[in-house]
Amino acid sequence: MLRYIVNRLLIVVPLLLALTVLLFLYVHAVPGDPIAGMLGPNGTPELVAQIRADRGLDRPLLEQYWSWLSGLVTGDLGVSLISGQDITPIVIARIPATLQLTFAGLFFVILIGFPAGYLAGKHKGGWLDRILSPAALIGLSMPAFWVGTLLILVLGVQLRWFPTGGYVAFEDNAWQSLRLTLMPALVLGITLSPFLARMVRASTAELAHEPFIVQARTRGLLPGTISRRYLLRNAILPVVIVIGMQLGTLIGGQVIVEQLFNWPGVARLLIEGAVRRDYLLVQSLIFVIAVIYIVINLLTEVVHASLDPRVRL
Amino acid sequence: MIEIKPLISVENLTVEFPVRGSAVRAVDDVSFEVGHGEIVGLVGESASGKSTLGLSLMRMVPSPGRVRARRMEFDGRDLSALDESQLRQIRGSEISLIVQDALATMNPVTTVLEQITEVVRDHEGVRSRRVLRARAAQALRDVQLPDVEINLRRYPHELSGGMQQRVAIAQGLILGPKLIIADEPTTALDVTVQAQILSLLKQIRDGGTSIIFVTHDLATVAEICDRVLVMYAGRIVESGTVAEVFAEPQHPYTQGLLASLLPLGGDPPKRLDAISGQPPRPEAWPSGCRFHPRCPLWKSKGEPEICVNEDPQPDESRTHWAACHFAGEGVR
Ligand code: SF4
Repeated sequence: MLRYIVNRLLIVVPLLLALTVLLFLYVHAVPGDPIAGMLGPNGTPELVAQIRADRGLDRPLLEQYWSWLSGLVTGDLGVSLISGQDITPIVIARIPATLQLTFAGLFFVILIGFPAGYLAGKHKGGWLDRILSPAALIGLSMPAFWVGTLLILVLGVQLRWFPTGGYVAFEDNAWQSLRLTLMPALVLGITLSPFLARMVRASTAELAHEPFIVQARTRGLLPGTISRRYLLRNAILPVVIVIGMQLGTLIGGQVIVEQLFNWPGVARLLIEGAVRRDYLLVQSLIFVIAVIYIVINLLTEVVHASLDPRVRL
Repeated sequence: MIEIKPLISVENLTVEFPVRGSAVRAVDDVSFEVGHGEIVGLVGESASGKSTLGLSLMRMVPSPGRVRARRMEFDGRDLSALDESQLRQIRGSEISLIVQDALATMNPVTTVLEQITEVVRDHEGVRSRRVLRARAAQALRDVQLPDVEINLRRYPHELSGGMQQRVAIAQGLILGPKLIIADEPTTALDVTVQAQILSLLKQIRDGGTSIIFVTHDLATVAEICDRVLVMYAGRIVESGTVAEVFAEPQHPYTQGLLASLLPLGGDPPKRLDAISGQPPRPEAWPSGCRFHPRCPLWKSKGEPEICVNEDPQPDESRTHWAACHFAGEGVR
């Protein structure tokens, strides 16, 4: 297992390096000067030049890249072009909110997607399947911003059950924090669970034809034993894989949901940075997100290996 | 003389699968008996219905298949009159099924210990982990699995093919069944392991358990079976003791099967292509004698009408019989 992780990291490092080059070039190719944009009509050419020099933007590109990269290695994400603040503490401050939303979202994805897929697959062609399968198709085609707006309008504005947006740290006020998390997490759950449900349905339905399920019946096992130990335990296996596969979508959904619900997470920071053309911030954030993506992917593989004894890492 | 009732006796058993409006008979009107403590070989090519016949004895044919029988008596009970929960109690405890691919029949995510003990839990309600563990260890020792304690903790895929088959047999044996249906249990194994498993099955038979040994391989039948039923196209075409059938096969099909066997240490057979052509499919069994399109005897006799029009009936009053209009004439 350890060797596997080390091996994976050895592949990941050159990949990340390539990513930094691409990111750096891409962001710098975007037209418009962030400093001039920030200062607006007040920006005299002298002032712009001064701030540019202050942020190190007048140095050759290669030198800029090198100082950014050597910063990344030591955990220093650089300085915001706009505010001049260190980026690392800003990002760290945003991480708890993002993690809270991610895990709450995953919770709903699994809570909705797994039972729906499992039951539909177990009773394939039954009444439940005939309701759930089209429902999953509809769910798949609903964009997150639309579901989010709908929830805000109905649960927030009409019924006034939940606040329409904002964030309170869990340790400050747990109850309020959960109330605020529910709707954005539900949006992630509703929009991302149909895919999981479809995968679980397909794999559960296939299980029914597996020789070991047939053999379990010839051994006269109780129906409950067959459901729990044979169907359920094998149907869980694809869940981890699907979640690993869906990470990208999850992060994408996060960007929309954080924006919609005024959620001060990493994804929203990214949008803020992009709007202000704070390209060092954008560049560093995308890098951080890529690292998180890789770590979680690795984690899902470890979890999968621990659930399925046939997988050896 | 006291007449000893057979363990299982089946009369006019048919297994039907509905296919596009009509019913396809994979097993067609078959009757036979299996006595206590005997190994009966059920021999045939693929699609002859032999595996389906084995499953039908547990009333377990894949849906939407249907099992019908005039009589299906197992150990004094009528199998066809039992409901699903009564059948469940018989399956795995009184009748066990062992199949060719042991690995595929085991739950990949549970250990050998769990696999073996779950039948004990579900059938006998034993809950104590210590008792279950001891029972499992004993069952594995009974099938001569080495390193029992280590292997109990292993997962199925971590065992060798021979060990997997032993575990599968231990699973089938742990509740002391009266009948084991062994469907090609040695086909996937190499020769040494095959011999070990066969001798294990003989020991099980000697312990009083009856075995229906489903196979396409007459050589193994000669090695371990007491009696043999030859199946062709959903029917039993020849039945007798192993000695009788091997010494004097009466059905041209059996004769062909035997002719294609390589005699041990002797000359290679004169005609390896003893039975030419493809076995028929259940959707299109031939008329009359179902073997006639491939029957060398029929051809050598100038293709008599009777074989095409009339179904040969077995003379079941004899211990050795063949369903052939010209039984015993054979071109040997
Ligand atoms: S009945 Fe006729 S066709 Fe059938 S096996 Fe006998 S000889 Fe051949």
